[in-house]
Amino acid sequence: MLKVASLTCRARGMSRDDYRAAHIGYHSSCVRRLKGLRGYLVNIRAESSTQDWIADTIAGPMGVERDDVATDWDGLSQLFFDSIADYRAARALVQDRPGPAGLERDERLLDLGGDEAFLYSTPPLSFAVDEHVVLPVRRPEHKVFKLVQLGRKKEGVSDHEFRSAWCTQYADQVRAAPGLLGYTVNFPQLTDVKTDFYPPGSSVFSPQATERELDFHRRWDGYAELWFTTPEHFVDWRSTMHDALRPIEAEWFDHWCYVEVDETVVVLPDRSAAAPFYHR
Amino acid sequence: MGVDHSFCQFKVWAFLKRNVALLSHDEYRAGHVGFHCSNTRRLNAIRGYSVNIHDEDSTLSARLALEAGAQVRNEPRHFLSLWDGFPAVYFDSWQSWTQAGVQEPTRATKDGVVIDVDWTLADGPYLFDRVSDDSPQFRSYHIRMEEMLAKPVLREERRPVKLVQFFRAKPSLSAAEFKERLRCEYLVLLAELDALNGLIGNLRYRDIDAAVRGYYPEDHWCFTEQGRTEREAFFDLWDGANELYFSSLEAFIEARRQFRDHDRLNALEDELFEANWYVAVDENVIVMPNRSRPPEYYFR
Repeated sequence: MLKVASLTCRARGMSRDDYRAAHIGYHSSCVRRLKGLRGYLVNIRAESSTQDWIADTIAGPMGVERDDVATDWDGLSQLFFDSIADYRAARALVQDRPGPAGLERDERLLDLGGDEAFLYSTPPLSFAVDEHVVLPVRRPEHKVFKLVQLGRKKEGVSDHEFRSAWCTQYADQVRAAPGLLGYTVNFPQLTDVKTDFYPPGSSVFSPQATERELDFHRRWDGYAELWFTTPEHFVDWRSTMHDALRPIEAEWFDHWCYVEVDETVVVLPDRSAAAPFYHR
Repeated sequence: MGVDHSFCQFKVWAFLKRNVALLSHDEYRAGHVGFHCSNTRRLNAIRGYSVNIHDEDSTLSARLALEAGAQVRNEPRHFLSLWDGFPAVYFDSWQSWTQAGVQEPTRATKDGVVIDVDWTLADGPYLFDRVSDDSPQFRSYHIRMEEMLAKPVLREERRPVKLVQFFRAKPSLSAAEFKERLRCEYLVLLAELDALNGLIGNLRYRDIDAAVRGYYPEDHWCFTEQGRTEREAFFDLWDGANELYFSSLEAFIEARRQFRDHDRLNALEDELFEANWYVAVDENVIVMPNRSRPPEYYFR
């Protein structure tokens, strides 16, 4: 399965709440109709007392200050497709709009709603990831507490060593956390996810966008997603495990940070074989 | 560390038949789950939303009776021909349900975030069973459901097998007695099935206008004599339905066949149900239900 992550920054002058409504509302309503889409999550950065607790209590010398993270992105979207070929073909219009002659193609989707210039201040920073599902998430019918943990490997540590350590030694300390609903680790890969998805001339191809991508990848080598039943479950677990986690973090990470997000399941990812009919 | 499940108490199912002159069953799926839901997922204050489309398999009940030893009786003839899908929506109250069409600003434009001028439900008569060629109205069998959460649903990242077990109560039981025994005996036992990922019991409101009063205008088809007659006929076929979530049909068959209290389950079905049968539906989660307190910001 192909998973494409996109970091987005809200338009200048747009409030966080307006951004939520516009991204989760209209924009997601257009994107969810992409041809062959198998899953679509939108994570909006949250501001909460838990984020304060993380910054004040556990961040320490390796934890990046919250304000540094805040300047980077407001939303993390994730698209799931069966293959890179399906992803590149996703902008083709499907017949999914009922009209007087039956199902019709909706021309409005040619530019995915045409709102990106007003929704974002910078082009989306998109990259495919190698995904390691440590604990398959099972979502309950209530708002869950979700964290994104970004990490940068220590100098001298190879990509292979870093990934292996995160997915085994570090993950082993996480997977048994009480209240943990799911745990996934993602590492950026080199697959080109801009060509054939974004139209030629899109701002995602600009030198500024490219420089921003390079900057991001210089600072981060991977990110994990952690779903907990409640914030208290995370706080209790991290407090209890802090001394056990610190040496592992010191051995493999140069720096890391937790970011709390509000997850919207726009299309519940379906990792089973695709249905032979339209499904979202 | 508990989660308060006291919200999301206004639950509505709407059984809908496609516009057969324009759409096949699979085309209806695409139109309903695709364009239509891209608008309806933005209904004001919606707290949960799935679209459940049946699989056109009218032999399922017989198969489950044979392979799982599940009891099936008095399944209405051609039941699946009466509808193609049923959305299930959750709201916090009747007030929020009847105000669901009040639009919110959700579209980023050069003028800021505004109400989406392209938002529309005008596809309805092309998608659903149109009342007549010159009417914009369509037949909809909305019904308010009283929910009994027997085992909270946990959704995996894979398409589940969702079975809807329709039932009609034995006429010899009073409504109160039936409800009590369904909730306290049958669902408690059924919730012990192995590999069950969720179980929700549902009783339909006896007042068939509970979901449409204040939602549709007074001149809507559903309030006409014909509409009322057709709705009563459909709702007379069943009193409620249980939603069962499994990873596969085989998991249900095995769980039911091997159930330690199989005989007791069958005995309860004998005692409670005049009719009960199964329909498999493809569940499309349009808005993940959120039964906890709503956040103070736009959330889906």
